[in-house]
Amino acid sequence: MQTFTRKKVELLADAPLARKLAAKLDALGIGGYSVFQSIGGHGAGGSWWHDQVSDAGAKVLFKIVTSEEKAARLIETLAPLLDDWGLILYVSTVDVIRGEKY
Amino acid sequence: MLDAAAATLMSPPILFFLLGVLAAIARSDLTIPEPIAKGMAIYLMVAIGFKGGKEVALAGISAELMIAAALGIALSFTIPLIAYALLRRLVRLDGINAAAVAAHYGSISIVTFITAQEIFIGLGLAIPGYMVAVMALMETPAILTGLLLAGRHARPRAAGHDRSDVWREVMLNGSVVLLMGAFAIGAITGPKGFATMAPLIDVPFKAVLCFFLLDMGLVAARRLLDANVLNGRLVLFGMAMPLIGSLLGVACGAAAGLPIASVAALAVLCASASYIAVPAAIRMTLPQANPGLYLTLSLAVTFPFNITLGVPLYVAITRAVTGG
Repeated sequence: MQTFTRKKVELLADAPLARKLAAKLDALGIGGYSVFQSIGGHGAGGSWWHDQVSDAGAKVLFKIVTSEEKAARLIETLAPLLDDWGLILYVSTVDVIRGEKY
Repeated sequence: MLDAAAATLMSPPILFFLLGVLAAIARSDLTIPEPIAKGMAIYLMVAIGFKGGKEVALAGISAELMIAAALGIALSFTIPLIAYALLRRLVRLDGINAAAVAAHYGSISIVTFITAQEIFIGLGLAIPGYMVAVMALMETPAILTGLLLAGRHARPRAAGHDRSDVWREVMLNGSVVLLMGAFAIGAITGPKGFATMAPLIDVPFKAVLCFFLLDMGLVAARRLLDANVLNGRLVLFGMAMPLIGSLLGVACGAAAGLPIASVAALAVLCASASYIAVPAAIRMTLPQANPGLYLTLSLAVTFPFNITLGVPLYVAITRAVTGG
């Protein structure tokens, strides 16, 4: 079975910024991603748990699979924002079956 | 006044809040699922908005309403300036975080208002319905002031074509839409509309408030236990700023000749700090600010202070100033 190599970019972000990030993805022509809710976690800023009264502290995870060039452009776009927006970003290489979809 | 404070602390809403606090301190695993907490928040906003609107339908749009609204908006714009100055000079906070925190204190907390309303009833005061509209109007101007203050230190996220987007997001945030919308519907449908809604939004109201405050107690205490961002000065600010806000509110309300319940309500609004709407808005527009800081201050320090000690104190101040 033939597979194609693509890049998976994962982004952990604060929920209030999720829409802004989605807009950036759309602007870069990245069409394939899903957003998941984080239940809790711990980081340099402290810990959070999914029992807050407000969305302001909640985190979401973007899972993006896209071509190498678009992934590179995404990383370039987000690199200056990592500190300010409190983003966690990492990239891995994945194999997909329907190469034309990503 | 001590009597009033004792009576406040013995009421179901505050006792449920304290239960939440104690459960969190005792490391109980009690949690209220987040969607339920959000649902209760929506319920409380719709209920208070609708009731306020219905009362304005009965009382009509008065000069009092206009005066209170104008005062409220002006105070919401200016209180952040005072908070900012205090944070910069006395607390030695950096510009961006000072602006972000200041925005919270100029805005209002709907749950504090609702809780205060219950406390007022115990103290023999009835808040006029139009104060709900004043509350809704006071929610967003503070955010704009906060952004302007932050602009002196770094470009907030609103740049170029982004700006109109940001304003739209801020002005149309969920709680304002819900509050104003419910208020408008309550005003349009009046007592008849209210009668059809009453079994849901009137009868269970106090109990839902209790459950919500239970969650607030859990969340506030957990946040405080977890927090590593607060120092003594910030905590002091979290208690002093509400007091300063309330004094401003009393001064303006009394000077404008508003009735005593409105003056006291205005004081509560000026003393409260948002922890649902403004944190989300600030996180979007000032991502460089530390959410651990502003959320913890307003949720875990100011809110508990306001509903336990603050509200009876503000009523006492109002009575002392207005002689009522």
